[in-house]
Amino acid sequence: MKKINLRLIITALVSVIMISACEKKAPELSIIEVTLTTSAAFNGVPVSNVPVIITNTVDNTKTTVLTNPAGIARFEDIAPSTYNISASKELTADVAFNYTGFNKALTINADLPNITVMPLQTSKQTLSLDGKAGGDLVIKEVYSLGAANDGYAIMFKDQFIEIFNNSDETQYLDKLYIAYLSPTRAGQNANDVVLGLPLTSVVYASKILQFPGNGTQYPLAPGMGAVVAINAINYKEQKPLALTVDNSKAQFDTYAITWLQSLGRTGSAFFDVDNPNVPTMNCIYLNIQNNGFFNMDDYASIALVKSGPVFTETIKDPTVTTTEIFYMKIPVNQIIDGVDILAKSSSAPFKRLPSVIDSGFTYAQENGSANYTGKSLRRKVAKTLASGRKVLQDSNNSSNDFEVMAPPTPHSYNLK
Amino acid sequence: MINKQLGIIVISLLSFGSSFAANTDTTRVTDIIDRTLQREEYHLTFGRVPSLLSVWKMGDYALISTGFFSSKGDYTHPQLLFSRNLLEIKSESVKSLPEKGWRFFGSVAYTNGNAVTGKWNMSYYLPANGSPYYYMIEQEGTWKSQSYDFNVAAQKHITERLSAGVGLKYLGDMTFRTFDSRNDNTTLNIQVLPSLTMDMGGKSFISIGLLFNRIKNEPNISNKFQHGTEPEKYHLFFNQGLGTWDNSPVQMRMVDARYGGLISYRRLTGKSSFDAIYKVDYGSEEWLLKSLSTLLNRKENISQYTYFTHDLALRHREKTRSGTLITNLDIRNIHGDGAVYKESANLYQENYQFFSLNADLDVSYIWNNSALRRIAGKLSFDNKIQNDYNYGHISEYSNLEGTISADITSGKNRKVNFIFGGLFSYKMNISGNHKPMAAAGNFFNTQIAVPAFAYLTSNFYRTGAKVSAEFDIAGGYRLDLSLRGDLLKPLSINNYPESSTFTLNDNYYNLYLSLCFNF
Repeated sequence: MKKINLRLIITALVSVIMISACEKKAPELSIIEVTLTTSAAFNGVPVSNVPVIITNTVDNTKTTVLTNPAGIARFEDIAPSTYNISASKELTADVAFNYTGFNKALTINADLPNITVMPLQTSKQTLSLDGKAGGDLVIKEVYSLGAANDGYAIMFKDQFIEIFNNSDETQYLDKLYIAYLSPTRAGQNANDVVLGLPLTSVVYASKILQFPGNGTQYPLAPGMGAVVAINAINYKEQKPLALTVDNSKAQFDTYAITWLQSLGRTGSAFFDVDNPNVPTMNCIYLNIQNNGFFNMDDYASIALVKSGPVFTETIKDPTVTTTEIFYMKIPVNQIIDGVDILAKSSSAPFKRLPSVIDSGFTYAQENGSANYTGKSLRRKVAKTLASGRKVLQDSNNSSNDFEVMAPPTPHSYNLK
Repeated sequence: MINKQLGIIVISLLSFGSSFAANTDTTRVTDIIDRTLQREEYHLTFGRVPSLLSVWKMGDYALISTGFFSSKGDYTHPQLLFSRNLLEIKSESVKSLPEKGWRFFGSVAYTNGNAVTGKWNMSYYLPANGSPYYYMIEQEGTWKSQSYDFNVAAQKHITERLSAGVGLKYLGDMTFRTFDSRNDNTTLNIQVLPSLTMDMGGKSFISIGLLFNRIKNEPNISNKFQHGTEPEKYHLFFNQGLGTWDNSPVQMRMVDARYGGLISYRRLTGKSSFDAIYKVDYGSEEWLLKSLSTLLNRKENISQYTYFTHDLALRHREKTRSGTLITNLDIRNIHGDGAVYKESANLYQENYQFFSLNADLDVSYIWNNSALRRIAGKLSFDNKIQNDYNYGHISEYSNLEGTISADITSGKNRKVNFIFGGLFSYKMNISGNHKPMAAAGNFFNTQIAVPAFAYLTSNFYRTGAKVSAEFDIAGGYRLDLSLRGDLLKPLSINNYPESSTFTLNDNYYNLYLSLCFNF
């Protein structure tokens, strides 16, 4: 009887363990099937043998599959997660002419951000390639993250944007706009809230600057860049940090205090410093009532906008409930070039530009938290001509077109 | 808060009250070996069934000890301790009040130390229950740690045949990461174990009991700003599986509640005793957001791990003409499942499965009158399976370790007596299977799973020695001084030798120096 009791206990335990051990679950992997098409404007462009990329927004792994003759790319045995899906196709100048009327090479893009795939699900998605003829002026570099937060001497006061003439003709900067796009949150924190406004025909600016000039006052030669510094100061002289920059050679700077005072508002003398030797950008819109200036957000999406239109229509930020924050609407068809810079690889829901302008987005670090790292986002060089002039990559997809630099490199592509 | 403090005071009083029990038997047993046996007997059997203290035959004992523990080496799990120094102060006793039918156990321990942990770990430890959930960053860390441990049990005869008992444990653990001073962890572990024992005729005893265990872990973490050209080693992750993680975790707390029951059977014959103790419990570990955004309708419970634990302990003691044969068999099985809340889909997605089976068979013989005082052999089996079926990522292995040890004594001189001991063990990996499938390209696999698998499936030998001296001091009290150490040395790296974080030239040592006052 005693032995039976012991045997019963051991038998019961071993049975439970064996049953448990047999229950190992099979992999619950998923499938994404992407059908590639084109927009009506590019109807007829072949969609076979085009690389389609899926990026797992959680672990940042990328997988590439070529489309079959029917334009279908099938991704098998992938982990259930959230993915950004993208595809690009380069059109030669001859081919592009048939669709755009411009005899310039063009890359058409398609993207689908934030596609959630459940375990064992076959997710069928359609991607439509689209694009517009590349602009002659492009955003070459955006440095918004600031250098080391060393004694608050610099912080982010050394920010700059560089515009580059990517064509073979002189371009004029006069009266063009630079818009800082909203929302200010870019997916760094778990509590960041996405835009919640349609991102189709307009984008939303929190700050707008305009180049000075009368139309021909500020020419930009082919292969040359123009730096717009927040403060045109040599910060390397102020604080000998390896990662900061000398902005004293900037072509333009920003200064909002006088403009704000004329409107009965106040500026920020600590952050906003005017260099009288450098032309100052015109202040157009600043959605902060007081103590504002034209600094960029840490993760700054920027648009270069045509001259001509006057922006007047604002819309309230629906994500901010405690105060009233307004954005200025900018029509997408007025944008010459744009780059979507977000916090990290999983920040796709925070995009501020539609895919026709930037079908991807870029970031300084995959996992975010790049403040004060001295990192900037710089457009890559597509080719260097025999003359030495650099032609920058402009596929309207900043995921491919931009690279991370530290320290920042103002004027680095200028034709010597 | 007041209730907590009151509870700690009551437990402390009970613990110290037992500790200062007078007229103990501790000082009359033969030597350190017997005193160690006394304490082991409580923890191996009676501490698991408090009401069984009614048949405690090992006599009362009391001790106050202090010890210093040090360990260091490169041959270690890549996420765990690279080195550790720990100071411990402890008091422990058993006190009987036979005329009133009470028997008490009490212990209080405090430790203070520092440690260096490996990469990808912000929790100072890896969960013992198989849970995949812990904070992690790439940067190695230096920690300071403190723990206080109150452990009391009381037993009372209710009738001649029926005895009741209850055990209470309260463990507080605080760790502070000092390298970047950005993290601290506080863990509170409370366990209540009431039980009843029925005497079935003086030779057989049947016990039943209930178990409630609540562990609360409160990490406080600040993401360190990355400066200048610093590598990106400070980004915070929350691990959720074998490749599944949250790379934007917010402040969370963990509550692990376990409910279970036990049944035990004890059989006494003239010269032997046999105990069988079976315990089963169900646990639910939840990771809860500390604060919820008013703008986002977020779930409070981000991750959940539920698990069953089975424990079977068999004890056999047999007195022979020349000594005592002691046999212990412990088998433990854990089977757990993890699920992660997916905000984008608004559901809990099951992703993780854990299975472990551990068995330890320990046989020793203690001679009453021989220079060879004790000889022991131990066989340990360790099997673990982790399965992240969202990635199809499986890691499973089985290891076997055999140990032999022996102690010799200089005699039974009450004035001063010496014990010398040695051990040797060999661990061999008997099976291993690692298939990352869809996780092959992510960093959890390349930087954590692969080096960990290389370590866990490596073969090693361990060699150790100890020397103890005991002295008779005024009042007939006994003072034990003990120094022991062991060294682990890898013999073969059976998987991923090119990715392992150690080489065959590395080692890991443990050293322990203790001073124990028995009264």
